[in-house]
Amino acid sequence: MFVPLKGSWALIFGVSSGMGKATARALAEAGCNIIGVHFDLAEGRQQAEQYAKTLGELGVEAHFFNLNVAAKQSRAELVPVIGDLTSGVGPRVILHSVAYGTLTSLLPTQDGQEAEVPGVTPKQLTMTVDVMGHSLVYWIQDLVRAELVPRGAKIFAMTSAGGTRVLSGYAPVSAAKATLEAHVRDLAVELAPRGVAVNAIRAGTTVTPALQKIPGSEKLIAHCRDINPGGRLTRTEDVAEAIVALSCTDSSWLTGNVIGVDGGEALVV
Amino acid sequence: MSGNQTAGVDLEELRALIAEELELPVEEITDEADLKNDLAVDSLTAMEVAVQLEKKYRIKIDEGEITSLTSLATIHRIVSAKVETA
Repeated sequence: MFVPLKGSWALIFGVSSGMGKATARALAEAGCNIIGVHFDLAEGRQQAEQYAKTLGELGVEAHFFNLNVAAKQSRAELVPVIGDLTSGVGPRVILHSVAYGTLTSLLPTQDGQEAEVPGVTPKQLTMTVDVMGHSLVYWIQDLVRAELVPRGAKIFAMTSAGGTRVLSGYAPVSAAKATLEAHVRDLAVELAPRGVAVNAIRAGTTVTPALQKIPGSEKLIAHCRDINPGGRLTRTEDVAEAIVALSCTDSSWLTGNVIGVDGGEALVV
Repeated sequence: MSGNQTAGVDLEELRALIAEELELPVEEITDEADLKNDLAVDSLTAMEVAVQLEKKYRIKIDEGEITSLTSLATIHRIVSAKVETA
């Protein structure tokens, strides 16, 4: 059954940039209040606060928190706040769109004529998988424990083509995305009895600040612009619209999937 | 006045802040201990330190400056300079 989002709440991890930012706006336009988590230095924080204000002007509540999504302390601090803001109901939509990790290869590489670039360290690999993968699980654990994941809730996690394919300089993030997809499957099964749907969204190549940090991304962007059957790259708004559309139902039957939102890009790569 | 004061940035207060963020005893945060090599600080923890420094001292740190936060002594110099010009 179609259920409007007006008056419900969304919890967005990674709200200050890219997919998280665009989805916050689309959900707010649909009348959904926003609890946003981001982790930025002063300049980014000011921009995020300004963005929260513009969401508020759409007639919804928007509360942003500058916290490390991977820290236990952040969950301890925010979970009770989520309970208060949502009057004990919990968010109807949860989006994990966290881009913070080490971009490098597994083995040392020669960077042109320059010195050797060392391969990934255990610390970098652990940190990346923890932030971009495991943190979803820890938040859902704490939210479920606080009874803040209601029946009909929709959980989305942003994955990428790198979850199953190899992109140069992306190896630790690839591992994180593969981990995230595994967590989505297991959470989907474990949350099915509660009527909660969990899906991964695999966006096509989208020009976001996170993508632009990947070494050689300009080549990937040019290639995907060329081959995308839709004739253009994916936009953050495409992802935002998909998430809004998938959230407007009380059905939990669409669950445990990796959903491509890419204009068919992955089919022709 | 102790030699620990530069433009109102107390070295011991700074040491305590870093120890708390790194979840280490203050004794381990010696003036010259290298955050990355001696104290195993990764980029995410360095970011947490930077965010806390911004908050406490009401300063701005650029993303590119995070790698220059190498030791307590260096951080003290950087923060002090920023507080002075703020």
